Amino acid sequence: MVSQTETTHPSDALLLATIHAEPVDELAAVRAHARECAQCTARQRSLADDDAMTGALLGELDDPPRTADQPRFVRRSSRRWVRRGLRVGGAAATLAVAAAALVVPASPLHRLVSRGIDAPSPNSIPAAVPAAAPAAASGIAVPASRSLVVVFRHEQSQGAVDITRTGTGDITFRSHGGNAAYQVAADQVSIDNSFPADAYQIDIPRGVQQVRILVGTRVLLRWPEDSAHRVGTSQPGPLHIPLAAGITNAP
Amino acid sequence: MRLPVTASRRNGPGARAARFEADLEQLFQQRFTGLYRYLHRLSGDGALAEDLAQDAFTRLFERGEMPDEPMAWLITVATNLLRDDRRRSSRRLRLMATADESVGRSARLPEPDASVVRAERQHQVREALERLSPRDRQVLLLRHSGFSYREIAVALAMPETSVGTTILRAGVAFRASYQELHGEPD
Repeated sequence: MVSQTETTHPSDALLLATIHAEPVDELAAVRAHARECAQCTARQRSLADDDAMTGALLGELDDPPRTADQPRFVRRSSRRWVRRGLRVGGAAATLAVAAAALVVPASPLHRLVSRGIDAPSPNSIPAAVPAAAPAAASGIAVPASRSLVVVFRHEQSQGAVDITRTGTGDITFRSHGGNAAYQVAADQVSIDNSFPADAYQIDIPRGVQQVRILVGTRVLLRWPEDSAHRVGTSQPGPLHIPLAAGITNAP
Repeated sequence: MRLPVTASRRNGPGARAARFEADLEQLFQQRFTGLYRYLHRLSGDGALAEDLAQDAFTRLFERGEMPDEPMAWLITVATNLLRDDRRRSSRRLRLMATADESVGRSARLPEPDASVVRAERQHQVREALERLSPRDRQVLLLRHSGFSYREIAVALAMPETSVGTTILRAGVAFRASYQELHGEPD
């Protein structure tokens, strides 16, 4: 007979899936269990550390950070994509669609083609990349403790972070657009924004009493010192902080 | 029964094409860098990775409609393009080897301005990656390039329930290989 006190711990794969914020069926149950079970909390931290180490090693294979010219990179890619599309496609239908796109200003293809034709000078200010839809969010969840340090590795010329205080649960990070990668260490999450996202969303339980958010070495937010900016208060809605500037309150 | 003119316009071929283009542009903006990052890490060649990622999107554009799992579709197409490119390159190198054996090696030399330390670290990571099975390597690289378990499962035709355990196993094997070859990472 199974004892009432006998506990079934979630598998490592399941714990890792929660760290990766995968929508597994057992997510709520696993998180609830991990909060109560010191053994699983420790295991989850260890898995997160290992996963971060793997991510850091694989990150060595990437190009040097290209944050500054990333928008140009995207635009150049768009341009080449359309050009190739026209060349490789070759079919009259493709040409007709593209030709129509050129004369229909509202068409997305028109915008891509226009970007190709109206290539900016190297000194021009990059156009804003269209906002990403929430459906493409990627992210992680990490167990909450009393303090948290979040470091964006690189400056971003655009994009913002929205911070929401939640009741309980894990600290969750989500990014929309771009391709941010996360590294987790004890009480610290480093966000590799070499391929910057348009928006970052961080949900922080109220139990986390001290928070620092940095962009490189620049301090973007300090809790509780910045409480004058309604951080940590009970006002509804997320705190919206443009990454390029300092703290500004959401309208 | 004839549809009202407005409804037929809304659902007609023109509207469908416009929706497809809008979806495609959004997908491109959101996911191009992820696909590029995966291909770059897999191939070790940034220019090739950029070309292949763009070719994959071009093929989706030519397809004219979204597959059920667009990212899985793009991963599969891009990976096949990479495989074809490697096959062509290897045949080309074999043919050229008799004429000039240095050609193959020179293609792998680091850029003149690349840091020697950086090139060495990349070599170390790649060496550890090479020890993994192709499937484990792909799963690990896809996950760490931002793809979801579902996208990985569909792209590699494996059960979604196996993705987590594969990531775990591949991660352990990768770190162990790295440590065995080069010691603890910094």
